[in-house]
Amino acid sequence: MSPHSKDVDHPVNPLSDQQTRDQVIEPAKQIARYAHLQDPGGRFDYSSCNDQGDPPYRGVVSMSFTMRADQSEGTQIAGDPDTVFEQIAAAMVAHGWNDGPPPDWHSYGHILNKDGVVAVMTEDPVSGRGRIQLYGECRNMTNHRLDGPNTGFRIDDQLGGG
Amino acid sequence: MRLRYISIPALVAEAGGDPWAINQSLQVGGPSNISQLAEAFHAAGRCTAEANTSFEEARRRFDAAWNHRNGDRPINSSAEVQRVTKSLGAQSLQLPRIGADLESIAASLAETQKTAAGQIATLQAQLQQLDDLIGQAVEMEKDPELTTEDKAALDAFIRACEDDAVDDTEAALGQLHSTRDGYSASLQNALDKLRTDGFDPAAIQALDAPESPVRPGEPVRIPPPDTKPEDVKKWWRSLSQDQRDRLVAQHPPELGNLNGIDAMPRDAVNQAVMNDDITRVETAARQHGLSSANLSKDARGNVDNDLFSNPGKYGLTATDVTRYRNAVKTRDGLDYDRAHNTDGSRPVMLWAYDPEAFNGWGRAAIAIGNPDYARNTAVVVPGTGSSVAQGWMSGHDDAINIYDQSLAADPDHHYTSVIAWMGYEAPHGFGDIQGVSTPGLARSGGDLLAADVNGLWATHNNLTPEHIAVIGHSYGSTTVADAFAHSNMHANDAVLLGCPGTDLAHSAKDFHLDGGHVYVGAASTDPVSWIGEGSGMPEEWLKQKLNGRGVPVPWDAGLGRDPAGDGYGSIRFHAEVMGSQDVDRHDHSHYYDMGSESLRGITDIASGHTGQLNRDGLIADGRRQPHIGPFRVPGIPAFIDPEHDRPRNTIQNDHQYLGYRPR
Repeated sequence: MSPHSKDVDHPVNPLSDQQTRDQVIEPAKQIARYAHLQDPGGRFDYSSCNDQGDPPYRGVVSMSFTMRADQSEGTQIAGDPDTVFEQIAAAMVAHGWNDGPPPDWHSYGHILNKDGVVAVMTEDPVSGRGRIQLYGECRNMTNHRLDGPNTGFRIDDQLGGG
Repeated sequence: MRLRYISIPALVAEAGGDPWAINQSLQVGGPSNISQLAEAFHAAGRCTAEANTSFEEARRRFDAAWNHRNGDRPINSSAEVQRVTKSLGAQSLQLPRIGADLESIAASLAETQKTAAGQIATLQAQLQQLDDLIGQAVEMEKDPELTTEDKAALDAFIRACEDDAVDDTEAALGQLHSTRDGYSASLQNALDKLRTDGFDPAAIQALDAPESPVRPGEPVRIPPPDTKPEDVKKWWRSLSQDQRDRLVAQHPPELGNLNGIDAMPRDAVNQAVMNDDITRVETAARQHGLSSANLSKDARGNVDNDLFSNPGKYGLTATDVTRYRNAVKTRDGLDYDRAHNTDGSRPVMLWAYDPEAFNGWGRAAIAIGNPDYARNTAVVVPGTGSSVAQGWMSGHDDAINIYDQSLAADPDHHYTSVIAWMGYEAPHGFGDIQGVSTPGLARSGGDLLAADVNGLWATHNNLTPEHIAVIGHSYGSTTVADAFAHSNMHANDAVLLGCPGTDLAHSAKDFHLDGGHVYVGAASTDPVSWIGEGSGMPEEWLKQKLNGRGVPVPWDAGLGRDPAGDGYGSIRFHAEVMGSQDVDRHDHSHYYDMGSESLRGITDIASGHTGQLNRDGLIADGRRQPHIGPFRVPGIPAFIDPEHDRPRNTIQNDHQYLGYRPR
């Protein structure tokens, strides 16, 4: 973990809004490309790092994709989410991600991390789509609380989806 | 039929219609009376061979179908025949035709009743068999020797039985619809013939089998708010679908907050009331050239403007403005929970809404996932500084993190619900010394919480077992403790986070949990979690220290026993704040952080996998006396941020019991 995460409430080197967005959107674009995510869609949001809605904030990308077989490439991805996640994780590891959670991260899901960003892969039981959430570091000190209910925006086009 | 596990109302909800009600509406008809009347007409007139044949044939059909049950309503056949005879003339050939027409109706009705009764009997036999199978599986699940795989197999079996029950009900519903439609068609046909033959069908209308008609304009009285949820539920189910639809369309606000009403109509009513609150003000604003976007932005940011300050100029009242501000914040909450951080959208419902409650601080509850169908429901109760007016409904991820993680934790993807419950008046800030240091708000809040949680059991569909965990943070954990110990709240598990004391609950026993546990998350660096009695911190010394730093914590601060103590009977789970070394007031606000060990523990409890806490290595030791715990005591910073100049004499040990009645 980066040293900045040690004190979640008092980041030593705050990130600008642009840096906060880049920290998660850039890897999201890369993952969508090199893991060949099918029909990807997603959004970016600023998310408060405490239960008061106060700064610091982190950037969060949540993207989803279809977990069906990609017939066009001749590969047969099994419908089993764990298998799909393992294939995506292998592609991410090949691009410098660590397979597994960083220290002190205990969430459910298939977890990877890289440069302070944590990726959480789960299945949406309602839609049946796969989901990857990328959590950036808690280093943005802008108060996004008053931005409105949705502090973010869709990034479908950046992920190569519709 | 004696069903122990399958609930008929739940089946009806799942199947989208009530086969029993359709059968009932057919069985109320009186075919034997119609037949008697037919006989009287038949006998009164001069029969042609044709009319005779028709009558005899209908008569045979009737006899074959009629089950000779008693209890039919009598009809004065002779009076009816005399009346018609008088108008048609005794020698009319129409009289026997009327007799034949009527006998045909009687036969159709008797046949329909027989068919419908058979369809219901078949359905009931199927349900009884499935219920018995579920019962056997439930018994087998009690076997302590079962492996996880065995249990999963049994769960899957129970779910399959539940699915079959719904499928059977849907099939029966389809059959009964078809049966009734067939009868309606033949009845309509026969009635047309009767009219042609000179007979007014109104005379037999009470005898055929209509669906119970709604008398238009008849007002439906809504039960008062303190009605038992079971009674409210009975009342609601006693209304016709049309009456229920009409009530929801009218959206009286009290209906959306009435425990015992299902979540879906509650949501529809509450959102309609909320939208009215927004439209009322924004329409007036537009008429004066104001933009509604700016207005909602001002509401969100608690910024004043001319309309908020002088509503009279715009034809509005101060109440309209209060409702508007809280409506915008509630709508923000629905939007936030629906979409924030996800690509898809979470199923959100407005489960409670009363923007004027608590002197305008507002009352609302957002359910992510329908609690009536959830296997696991978690109720999230916030603490000091939380209210609708202060923006608690949006901007932070407590409820959505629990919801998302519960789905991720549960490989079977049982339907889950998390309710962000801003249903009581919390102290309005740590500066609200009287509120923070006295349990009055926790006790009155406990009553409200208990009423709402107990109502969840009444409306929950009985097809799935229900597990409810009530999770309180900060002052909200005191409220949760009081709801259990003092207000007879019934839930499976309690989770207390950063608890300043459990007031009327002196140990886990006082929660009266039936097989569940009191779980405690208390970070060693969270100062609020230390102010309860018996936490291991010499409290007089702690308070002296704080007072010495200009923090006027009253000498009687602390709201009772610290549930993290090892003598409390609770189960403590790890809830330390990542990277934190020392007591810090911020460490009171990280229990729901994504990735934290605390959220992991909360998820295991909320998703009904409490055994997983141990497997995840999340069980922590309780605090011990007189040992002081693991952290550095000297140099405790000022952990609360009160009004420094608040006079001491305004700080009272005021245990008043604050009442609240939903409007």
